[in-house]
Amino acid sequence: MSANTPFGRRTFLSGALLSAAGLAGVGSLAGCTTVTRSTDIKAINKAVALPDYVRWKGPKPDLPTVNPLMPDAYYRYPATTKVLSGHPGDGSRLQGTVPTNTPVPPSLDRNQYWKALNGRLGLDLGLSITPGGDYPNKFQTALAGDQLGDVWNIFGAPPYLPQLLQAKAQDLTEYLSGDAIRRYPFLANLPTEAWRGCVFAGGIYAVPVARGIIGTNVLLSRQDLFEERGVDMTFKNVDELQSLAGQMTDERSNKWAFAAVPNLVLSAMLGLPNTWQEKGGRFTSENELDAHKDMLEIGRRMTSKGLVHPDSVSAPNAKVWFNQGSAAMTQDTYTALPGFYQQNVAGKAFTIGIPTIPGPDGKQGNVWLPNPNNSITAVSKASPDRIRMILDALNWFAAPFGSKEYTFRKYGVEGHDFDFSNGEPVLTTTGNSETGLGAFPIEYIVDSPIPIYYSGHPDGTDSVYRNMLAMQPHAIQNPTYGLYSPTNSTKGSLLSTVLSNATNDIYLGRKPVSSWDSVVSQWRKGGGDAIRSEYERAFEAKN
Amino acid sequence: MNDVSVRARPARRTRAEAQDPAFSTPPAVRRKRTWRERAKRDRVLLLMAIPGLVLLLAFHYVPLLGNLIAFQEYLPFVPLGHSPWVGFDNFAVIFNGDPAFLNALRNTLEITLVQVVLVFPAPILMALLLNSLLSERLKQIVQSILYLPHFLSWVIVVAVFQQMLGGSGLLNNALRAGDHGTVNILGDPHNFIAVITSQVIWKDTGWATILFLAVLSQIDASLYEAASMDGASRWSQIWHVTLPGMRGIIILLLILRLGDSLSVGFEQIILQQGAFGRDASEVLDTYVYNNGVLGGQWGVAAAVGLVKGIVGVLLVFGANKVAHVFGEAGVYQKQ
Repeated sequence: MSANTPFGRRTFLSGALLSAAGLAGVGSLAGCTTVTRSTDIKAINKAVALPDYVRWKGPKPDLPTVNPLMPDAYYRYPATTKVLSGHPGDGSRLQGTVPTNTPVPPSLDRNQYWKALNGRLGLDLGLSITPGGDYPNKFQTALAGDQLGDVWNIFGAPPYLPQLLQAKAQDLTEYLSGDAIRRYPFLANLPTEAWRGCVFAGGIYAVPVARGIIGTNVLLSRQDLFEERGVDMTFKNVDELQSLAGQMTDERSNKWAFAAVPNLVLSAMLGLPNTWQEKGGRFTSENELDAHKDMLEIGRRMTSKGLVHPDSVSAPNAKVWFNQGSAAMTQDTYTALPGFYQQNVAGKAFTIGIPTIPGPDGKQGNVWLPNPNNSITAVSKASPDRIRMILDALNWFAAPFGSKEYTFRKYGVEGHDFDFSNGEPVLTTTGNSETGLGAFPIEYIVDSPIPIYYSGHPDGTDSVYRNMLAMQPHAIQNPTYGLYSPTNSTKGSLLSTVLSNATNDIYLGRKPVSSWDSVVSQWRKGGGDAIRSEYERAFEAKN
Repeated sequence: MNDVSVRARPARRTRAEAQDPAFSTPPAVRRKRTWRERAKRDRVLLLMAIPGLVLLLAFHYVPLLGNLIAFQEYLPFVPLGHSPWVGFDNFAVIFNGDPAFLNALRNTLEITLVQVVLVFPAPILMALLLNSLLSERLKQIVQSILYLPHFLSWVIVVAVFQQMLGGSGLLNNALRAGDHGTVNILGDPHNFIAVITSQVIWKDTGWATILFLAVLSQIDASLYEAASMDGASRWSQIWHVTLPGMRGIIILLLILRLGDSLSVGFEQIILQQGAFGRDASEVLDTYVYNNGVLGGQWGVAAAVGLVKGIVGVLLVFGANKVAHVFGEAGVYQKQ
């Protein structure tokens, strides 16, 4: 699965034999140092001066940017300028470990784009690329084998992350904190909120793969299918949503309203807090609130009425169903739009509408903001000169929309990987392959803020802009963002599987809604209460 | 793999002992020379065995040393030698009645029991049926069709079952089109064991048949002639000639299967955990994965894996002993 990886067959074998040799030395080494599984919440959650935010003034957007948190919106690809001179690199090898959510691009020797990229960077960039679903496993094994390289993406929250970073990653505080970041103008173009997720134990240990508000989960509707059936896709309450879902469902022709129960949409409609509720420093999980049981009941009813695709739990494939039209609505992010347009099988009519989500009072509801970062990337410890060189390269990776560097990064070499058609860049077949559908995985090392722009789909820009404008003032953040709980780090993923399994059991009618109380008490005993109190102490340390 | 080495090594030694008349009272000098002589005589074969031996060592024996982390508080970013030793703390989960572990153990044993009863005899029956086909050509065609599924990966097999029996699969679509109401097969935890057992049978029965067919072809044809001269029916021939001829291999495979009894198909199950829910589908292997790799409890996961391996080895030895008591050859023999 890995392309151009340093982890070849030979290193594999020698690694196996070396580890045998290493084991022989175990006895003598034991006891000389021990890394503790620190539970000092205060120390792990110490604050630090965050990098300054200097927003880059790019080309004039086609729609006004009303709020500083909103990305710029464009109907058409703007005129671009070259924003960096020279090469950031020093000709050395830079090895990275990254996930990808598009097909793995061809390796360097068969990839013109990659060769051109190395030329512009002035680096010999090597990447170990693993498909997103397998990435956490790959990460753990590469970590144990010391094979992560110079820069490595951290997806989700691996256990003991602060200790892991302290042991393996460079503390970037002196390079990035406060105004030090101004040396790297395009890293300084990443919002402050994103950097909060890179702080561990009082140090900046990573750079963000920032998404911000554009990563929010919303309800995407196949506007073309709604129009075809003459159904209005807007709704003011749960009853209206269920009724329009009923009109969009036609089991006999394999058409269902929802790809899966839209949990986050329902949560917003019921006014539930974003994962945790913080009141005067006390935390309550949304799972503990009565409204959560209302949500389960609605989901159960939707499923039993047959409004949800019957394989939503057993073989989820929401993106494909939405594209095919076997699901008329799906819960997904704004950033999913380019993928839907690219893989469109419905022809020219294909239109995505984004209805606003009403709250319990029928007005705009409190939509849950996601983690501002898709993931974060750490840099292995190195000399100050090399760290500065690597940060220069990352600065190049973050060159924003509207720059020539951005155009190259996303679309490759003009005439080979892409062509301008009516002024819009369109990838060629070669380009699709070489750049990984325009998402070459350096975008999982660091990326510039994502604009509202969909090549050849100005209607997409309209849908997203309008929805975001209405939603943005009501968006709520998870109060635990940027806080670290050791128990959550080790037990969090297991506990959330317990909750999601129980949720599926209820939706599919295997268990009654009333069983949720015992699930919550199991969750509390199994670590939920510990996580709560750790977050409360962490909140105190940071505020 | 380990089972094979257990079988092969002592057997080779016994043969050597039998061939060497001086083995029982070996004078030191003589024995050394004999060893050299034998090495010289077999040098080509020995050279040919080296690559296999290196692979076995590098990928089976060396990684075994990694089981050390079962006795450590191991973190992947701390070098092995620096992880603190915790004795048998990691094994506590096995003995302190952790409900998640017990659930995984119970599911594993249930699946093993069902599979030994249903999956194990399937290829034997299939071999007998195939063997009774008269047309050699037909036999070959049927056999090829039957063993092809073995070469499909589990991802494909699970997807095929999903396409046929899933909520929007072939069967349910047909039912829906005829207004008959749908059946929930893949998604009902009660069906879990039935579904995975039928998948195993569909995928691997044909393949496992090959071994039994080879044994069947070795049974002396004159025995059947003699039996039919004595007026034995087809049934009596199977009972008195065929089955006794297969007994050795059946017992051998059964013993090896026992060694694997705590492994019930990791890939197949992890692919379907979402569909059936974790309560019904968590087995020891997925427990180790979910806790160790995903939950970061490497030490505990290694401890469970280690105990699982030891139980497997003990079962093989135990079953082999039992086989000897009943006068069977088993996996290996001591002279």
